[in-house]
Amino acid sequence: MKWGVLSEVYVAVKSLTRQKGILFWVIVFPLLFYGLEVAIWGNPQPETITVGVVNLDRPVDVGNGTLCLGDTFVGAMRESGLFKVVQFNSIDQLKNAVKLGRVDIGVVVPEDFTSQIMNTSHALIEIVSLKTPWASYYESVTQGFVKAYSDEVRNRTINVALTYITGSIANNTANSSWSIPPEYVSYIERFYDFIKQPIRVSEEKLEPPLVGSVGGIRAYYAIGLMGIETLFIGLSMGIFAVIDMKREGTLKVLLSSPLKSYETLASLTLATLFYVGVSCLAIYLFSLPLGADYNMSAGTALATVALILVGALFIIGFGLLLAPAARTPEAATAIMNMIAFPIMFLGGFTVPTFLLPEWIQKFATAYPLSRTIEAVRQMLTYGKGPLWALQYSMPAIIATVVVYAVGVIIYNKLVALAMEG
Amino acid sequence: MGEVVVEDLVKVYRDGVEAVKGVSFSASRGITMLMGPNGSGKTTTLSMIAGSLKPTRGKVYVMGFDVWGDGWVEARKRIGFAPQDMPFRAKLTVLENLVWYGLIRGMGLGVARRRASELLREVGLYEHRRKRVEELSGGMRRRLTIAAALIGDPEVLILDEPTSGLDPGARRGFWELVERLARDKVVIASTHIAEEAEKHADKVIIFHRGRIVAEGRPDELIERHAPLARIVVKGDLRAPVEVEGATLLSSSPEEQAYTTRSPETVLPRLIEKLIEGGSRIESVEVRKPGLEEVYLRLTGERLEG
Ligand SMILES: Nc1ncnc2c1ncn2[C@@H]1O[C@H](COP(=O)(O)OP(=O)(O)O)[C@@H](O)[C@H]1O
Ligand SMILES: [Mg+2]
Repeated sequence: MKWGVLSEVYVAVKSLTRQKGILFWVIVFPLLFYGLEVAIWGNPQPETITVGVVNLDRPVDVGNGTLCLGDTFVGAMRESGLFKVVQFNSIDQLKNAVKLGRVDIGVVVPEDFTSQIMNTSHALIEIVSLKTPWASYYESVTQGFVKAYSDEVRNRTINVALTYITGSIANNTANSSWSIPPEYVSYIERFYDFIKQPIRVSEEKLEPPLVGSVGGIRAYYAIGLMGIETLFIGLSMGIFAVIDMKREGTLKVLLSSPLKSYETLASLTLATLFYVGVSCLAIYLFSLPLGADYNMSAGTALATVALILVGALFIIGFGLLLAPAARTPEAATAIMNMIAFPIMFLGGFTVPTFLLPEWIQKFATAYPLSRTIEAVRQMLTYGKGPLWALQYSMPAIIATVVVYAVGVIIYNKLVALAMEG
Repeated sequence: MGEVVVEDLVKVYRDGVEAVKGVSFSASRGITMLMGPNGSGKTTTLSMIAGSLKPTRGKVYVMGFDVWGDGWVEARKRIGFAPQDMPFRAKLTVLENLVWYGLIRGMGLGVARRRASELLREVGLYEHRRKRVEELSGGMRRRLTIAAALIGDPEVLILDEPTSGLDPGARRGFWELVERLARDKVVIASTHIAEEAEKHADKVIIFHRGRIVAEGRPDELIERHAPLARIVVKGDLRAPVEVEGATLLSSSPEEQAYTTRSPETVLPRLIEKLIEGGSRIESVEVRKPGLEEVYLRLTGERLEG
């Protein structure tokens, strides 16, 4: 056991609570950020819901023209202010859009929608949703709307029926022996059954299966934040590793120590993993009393640790790739800001991946750190298993091995260059 | 054969500055000081010996191990290096900083803690062990530097300008500490102060523009290169006088200067003759030669200022 490899961990342990900057970025910042996220987005968004609609309804001839209740239904959705309506031509297209997150929820109006209602038979609206923590909210809003529309249909039907019935009664009061014709009985039974709920709803839930709850949403954000912390801590270590040692003068004493260059890198890496670990643990512990609910088991916990480790190693290596461009501390800071913030937003750490535009989604699933974080989310909030998560992360793991290895080579080069004076 | 051997060391920096132009010397147990003005290549040379700066050419052997060859790990295990600004981790205490130095020199945490406490007692900083390094005074910081360089129990200590910024009293205290703690070690230090080298070095190596111009014991160097003391007489003076063993250097009605190998015998006779000649003497000053004069003689330039 080479003790020198732990030298930076020693410094990190001792500095954590004393260096205000470190304490802030490693613990206070994520907790504040998380608190804000929960406060702002921790509940489903009371904003316009984007609804994808397939309207297959066929018009029905009535006395003075045709009637298409499917159109009035979609029109009412538009006018309600609750929805932004996007029309689709086929159910497959709709499902695809729901899966990609381009629409929050899907609604299918069947081809017999009008004819069923005209026949006072139940019409069926199909709701297609994703099993995400948010979907239950979109679903209940959509169902509520369908219910309101259904009530409207009931009221109109009752009014029509009342007009008809009062008319019939007026026509037949003269005839004291009038009674309801037997063929009307079954019709009346159907009418009352229909009138209870003219439009019914069927649901179809699409993958991924989700812990569909407020707890799930809150866990989702907490995991995203773990990704952000890993990103910032790991990236700054990679970019600043050599330049900081030069500035502080520690490089001189390290070079004259018996430590080999890869051992000093191991030491820095371990210190970084320590900070990442502390930060993620702080976020986790903080999220629990704020209501985050994780699908936690020994297996998922272990896989989470492993995947965050992979993500951290990747981002350290990624930072090392950028290090040669950071010739001065100022340049390093500039590169850090230029790189870290875009990755934070594009990487799907702050906003659920499926809410992002498609091109960003592509980046977010391809970028290794995003991918490992997404895998952790899928495990801890969608209920996926640890093996699935590891498998899903495989490309990220391979990328990490490559990037970190190249990072080691670059680090050694930079140290050798510093040794030249 | 010394414990540290430097052979034809050359350093050309990337910008083309030739800072060290072929330097060879050896150092044994005791204090060896590289003496020279700023920019003469002391830091560059010490860094190449300590293993933190790669020479353009030449060899360095520490206890027989090639610092820039196969023996680099073994050589570095035997080196304790204190650069001019010994880096300390800002947020760590005095004790913790020493532990960190212990760790990077390969000590276990427990061993490093024990050794760090011991060293702090020896350098008189134990009661300050919980302070931040930035709270220490300049002198205390130098003592901590020595402790940090010593923590791996190296056989060779390399100290770059370890007393810069200290007053003469604190400087003396520092070197007494080094003599006490590193009596059996090879200490290679640098200074631009002649008096310091003269008083505390067993061996002085004089640097001038990246080259060694002389080396030896301080008294030897003085004897060899600047053996003459200077007698300066001030007052209302008549003609200069001739005394055996003294040479007139300069003369004016207010001041006369003579040089001599043996001021003790020359001085009484010189004063006697001047008074006889009718001069009125206000002050007499005898300037003993030192390494400052040696440097001046060898290079034609002043060491300080
Ligand atoms: N990193 C460097 N790059 C280029 N030139 C340097 C570097 N360090 C020192 N020098 C130059 O090398 C010469 C010797 O410097 P140095 O070894 O620091 O001298 P000393 O320690 O005796 O003051 C000086 O001219 C200095 O400007
Ligand atoms: Mg110097």
